[in-house]
Amino acid sequence: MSDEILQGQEQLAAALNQARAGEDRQLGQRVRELGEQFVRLTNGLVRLCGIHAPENAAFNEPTHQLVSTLLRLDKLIGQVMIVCVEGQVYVNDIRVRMDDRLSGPQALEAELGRHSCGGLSFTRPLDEDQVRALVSCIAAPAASERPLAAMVQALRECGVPEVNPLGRFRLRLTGEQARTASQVELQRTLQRANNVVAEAWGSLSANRMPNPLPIRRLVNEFVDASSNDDMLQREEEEAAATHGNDEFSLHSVRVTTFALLIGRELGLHQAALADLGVAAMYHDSGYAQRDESGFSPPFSDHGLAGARLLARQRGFHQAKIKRMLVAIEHHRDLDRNPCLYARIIRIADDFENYTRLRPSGAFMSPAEAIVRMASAVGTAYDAHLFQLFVNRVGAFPPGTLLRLKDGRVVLSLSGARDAARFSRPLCKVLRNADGTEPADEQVDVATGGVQIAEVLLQKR
Amino acid sequence: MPPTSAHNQFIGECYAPRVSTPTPPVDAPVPEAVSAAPTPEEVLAGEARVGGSPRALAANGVILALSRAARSFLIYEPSNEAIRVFLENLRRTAHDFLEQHGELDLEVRPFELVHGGEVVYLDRDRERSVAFRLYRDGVRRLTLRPGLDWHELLKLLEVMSIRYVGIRQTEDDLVVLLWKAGFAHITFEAVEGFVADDADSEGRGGQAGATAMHVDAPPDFDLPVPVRPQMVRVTWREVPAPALEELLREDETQALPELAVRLCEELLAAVSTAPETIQFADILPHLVETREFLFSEGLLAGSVRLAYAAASATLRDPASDRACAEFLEGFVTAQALHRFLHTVSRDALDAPPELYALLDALPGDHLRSLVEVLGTEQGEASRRITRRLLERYVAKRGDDVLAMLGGAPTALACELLRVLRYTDMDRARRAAMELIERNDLEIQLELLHSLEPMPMSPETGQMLLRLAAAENEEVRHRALGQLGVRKWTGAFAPLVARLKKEAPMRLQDHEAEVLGETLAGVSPEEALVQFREWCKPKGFFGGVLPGIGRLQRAAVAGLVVLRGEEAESLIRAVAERAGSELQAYCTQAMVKRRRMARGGTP
Repeated sequence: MSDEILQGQEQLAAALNQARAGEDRQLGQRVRELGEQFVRLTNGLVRLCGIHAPENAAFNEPTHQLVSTLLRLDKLIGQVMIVCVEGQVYVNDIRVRMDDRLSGPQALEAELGRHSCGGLSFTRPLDEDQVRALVSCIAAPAASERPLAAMVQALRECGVPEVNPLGRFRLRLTGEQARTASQVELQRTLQRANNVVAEAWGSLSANRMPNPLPIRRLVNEFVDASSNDDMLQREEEEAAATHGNDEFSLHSVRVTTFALLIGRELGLHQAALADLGVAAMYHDSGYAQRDESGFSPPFSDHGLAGARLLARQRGFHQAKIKRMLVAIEHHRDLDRNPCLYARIIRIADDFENYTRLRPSGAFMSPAEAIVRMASAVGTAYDAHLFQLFVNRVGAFPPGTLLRLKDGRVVLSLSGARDAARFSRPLCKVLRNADGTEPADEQVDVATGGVQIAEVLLQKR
Repeated sequence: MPPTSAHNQFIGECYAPRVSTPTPPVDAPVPEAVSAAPTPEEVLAGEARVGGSPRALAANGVILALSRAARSFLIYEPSNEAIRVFLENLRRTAHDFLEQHGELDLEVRPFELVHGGEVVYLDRDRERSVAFRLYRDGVRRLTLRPGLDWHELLKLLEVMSIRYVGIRQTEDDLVVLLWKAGFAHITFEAVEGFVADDADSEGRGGQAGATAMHVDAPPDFDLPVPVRPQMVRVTWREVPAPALEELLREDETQALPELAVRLCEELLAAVSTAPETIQFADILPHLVETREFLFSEGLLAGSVRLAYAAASATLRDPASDRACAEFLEGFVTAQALHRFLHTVSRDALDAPPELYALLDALPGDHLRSLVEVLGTEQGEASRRITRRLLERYVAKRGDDVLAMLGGAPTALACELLRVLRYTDMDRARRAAMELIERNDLEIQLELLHSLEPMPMSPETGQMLLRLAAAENEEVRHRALGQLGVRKWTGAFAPLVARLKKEAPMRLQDHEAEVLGETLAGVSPEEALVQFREWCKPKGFFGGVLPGIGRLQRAAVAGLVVLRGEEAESLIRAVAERAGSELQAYCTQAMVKRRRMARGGTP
C-alpha cells in the first residue's frame, strides 16, 4: 500500500473529524421535523376545508398544532420561508426529507401551484384564526387571472399580512448563466444582496440563530463576480442607484466588495475569499441586537454584541471563528493585533464609513479618504494590505466626483487599472461644461488631453 | 471491526422509507428469511452490478469503488486498514477507466447513474444508493475527466463522505463544498438552490409583495469615524512577494487553532469586563465546541490556554460559576484524556508538560478519569503515559487506588498494581496480597513482576509460595526461581513437603528439577542434608519410597549448584543405582557442575 493512500486516508479522516466538529445535526434535524409537520398539517387542513367550514371544531387540534409548529420554527430560524420546488420542500434552504407518497411535498406544491404560488414566507408566527384564514385561502378556487396577486390580496383582506405568497420556483443548476460575472447578473446580485442582508439582520435582531448559508451563497456569487474588472464599477453604479435603500445593508455589501477586492489582490484562494466575504457581511451584525427598550448597542459595544449574536450559530467552523473575530476586532488598531480578516475589513469599513453617502452627504470624497487613511498606515492599517487596496482603487477611487479641466463633472468608475493609470480612471460624465447632462457618456482620463482639475465632495 | 456509532447515527438520521426494497446484487445468493446483523463487508457490498458493454462495466466498477470508499468511513474507524483497500481500489479503477475509456460522464437519476445511455449503477436502497444520495443532494450530472489526479479524487471522496455523514446544514451545503473544492478535472451539474421561475406568468421573481423584515441600524452607526487630520500622498507600489506570503500564512489551516483559542480568550475576557453586553451563557456553547475541536486535533497547548482563560474569567453569578466549573471539568474527562493521549508519540516515556499543567490547573476527580482511561485504553504508549500520570496521585490518594483495585477487571488491576509498584511499595504489597486471591494468570504474571522488587518478608515469601503452586507452569517456575534467588528459608520446609507429597503422583520430571534447584537456592545447607537423604536412602524400604526417582531427580538438579565434593559424590551415587533415564540426567548434571566449576553457567 503506497504512502499516498495512507496519506489520503489520514487526510480524509482529518477532514471528516473536522466536519463532525462543525456539524449542527440537531438544528437541521429539528428544522426538518418541524418542516415535515408543517407540510402534513397544512395539507390536512386544506383537505379539511373541502369537508368543513374553517370554524368547525375538526380544525381545532390540527390548527393548534400548526400554530405551535410555526412558533417553534420561528424561534429556531427566524423568518420562515417554505419553498416547494419540483416535488421537494425547503424550509429556509434546509431540504425537508419526507415520504412524498403520503400527504407530502407534492400535494402542497399542487395546492399552492393552483395559485401560481411556489411557497410561503412568514414574517412572524400566526395565531389560530390566521391559520384558519390561510388554509381557507389556499383551499379556495384560484383566480382565473393573476392568481398569485389575488391570493396576496385575499390574505391581506382576511388579516394575514404576515404571510407572503412567493412565486413559483425552479431548481437552478450549476453551469446555468445565473452565477456568472456578466454585468446583468452582477447587477442583479448586488440588488438581491440588500434583501438577503436585510433579512439576515432581521433574523439576528429577533435573537434567532444566524443562518449564514444564504449569505454565503450570495458571497460566492460576489467572489465569482469580483474576478471581473467591472465589479467596482458595477458596485459603484448600483450603490449610486440605491439611495434611500437600507443604508445598513448597503454598508455591509459595500464593505464586502472592498474587502473582497483586497483579498483578491492578496491572493486568497476562492474558499478563503468567500469566508472573508461572509465575515465582511456580518462585521457590523452587532448593531442588529436590540436591548429591552429596542435600542442598538453603542459603537463601543457593537463588535462584542455581534460576536454574541454570531456565537448562537451551532457547530465549530473556521469561517465562524473568523467572522466572530472580525466582529470583535474590526475597529482595532494594529497594536492590539487584529486578525488578518479584521485588518482587511478595517480598511474596507473605514473607507466605506468616510465615503458613505449619508442623508447629509458623504464625510469626504473617496480620493480624500484614501489620502487621509494613508496617514494612519502602520498604526490603524496594515501597510501591505492598505497598499494592495490603494493599488486597486487608485488615487481617485470609484465614486470620486471630479471636475475636469474642460469643466465637465465626472464620477470615477474604474479605480486603478494598472500602475500607469493609477491616477487616471475611467469616468462617467455627469455634467457637461455647459451644465447639460449627457445621456450615458464615459470618458477615459488616461487618454490624451483629459486632465483632472479638482476633487469634489458629493452632497445630497 | 464492528460498525461505528457514526454509521448508526447516519442510518438513524436518514429518511427511512416505509417500503424498502433493496436491489439484490445480480450474483448475490438468495437471502435467508431471518439473517443476522450484516458484517461491514456485507454493508459495503450489495449494490447492483449493471451495465453491459465493457465500458459500462468499467464505469460500474468506478462507481462502486467510489460508493464503498465513501461509506467505508461510516463503517470502519478512520484508521482501519480496510479503508486503505477501498481507497486503493478507487484509485486503480478510476485511473484504469480514464486511461482506457476517457471521460466518465454520469447522468444522475434518483436511483440510477447513466453513462453513455447505459445504466451503469442501480440501487434502490435509499440508505446505500450513491445515486439517490447524489440526486437528493442536488447533483444532476457528474463528470470525471482524464487528467484527474489522486488529490482531486480524494477531494471528491471527502465531499461525498461529508455528505454521507449528513452534517453542516447551516454553514456549507453540497454546492458550497463543491464550489470550495475548485476541481480541475471534475465537473458537476448540481442544483444550486432555487430561483424564481422566469416562466411564471406573473413574473414576480419569487417574491409576491414580500414584506421582508427590515432592521434599521442606528443613524449614527460606526460613528464617530476616526479623525485623520493629515493627508499622505498615495502612489502605486508593488507589494513584495515575501510580504504577501507572510500575510497568506496567517490564513492557513494551521493558524486556525490559534485563532480559535484567541477568540475564546477575547470572549472570556469580555464576559469579565462587559457583562452587560455578553454573558458566560452566551458563549458557553462556543467554548465547548472549541474545546472539542482542540481535543479532536490533539492540541494540548491550546487546550491549556483555553482552560486557563476560562479559569481566570471573573464571573459574577453562581450559575455562571457552576457552568464554568463544568466546562473546565470537561478538559479532564476520560474521553478528553483519551484524545490527548492518542496524540502523544508512541515512543514518549512521559506525558507532555502541558498535560500535567492541565491536570494541575483544573478541578475534578482526575484520579478516577485516569483510572478509567487506563481501563479502556488499548495503546501501550498511551497506557504507559497514563500510568506515569497516575503515579502523581498515589502519594495522596493511594488508598483510593487500592479501593479501585477491588472490583477492577483483570487488565486494569494489573495496570494499577504496576502504578503502585513504581510509587508505593507498601501499597503495592497490600494490593498484591489482595490480588493473589484471584486465580488469574495475567494477574499472577503481573504479581511476579511486582513481587520481585519488594523486600523479602514472610508476606512476600508466602505470596511467592502460593504462586509456586499456581496452575500455570510458567508462573510456578518463575515463583520458584524468585524463591531460590532470594533465599527465603521459610520456603524450604513447605517445598520439601510438596515434593514429597507430589513426587509419587503427578509431579513432572522438570517440575521436580526446578523444585530441587529452588531448595538448593533457598538453603544450601539444609538442602544438602535433604538431598543426602534422597540420594542415599537409609533403611530397608529407603530405596523403594514412593516417588523416590523424582525426589532423586530433584536432588540431582539441586546438587548441580551446591558446592563441595559431597554434592558430586551424591550425584554419582544416584547414577550408579538409577535407571537409564535418571542416569543420563545425572551425567548431564555432572557436566553442568564441571562447566560451572570452570566459571561457566549451568
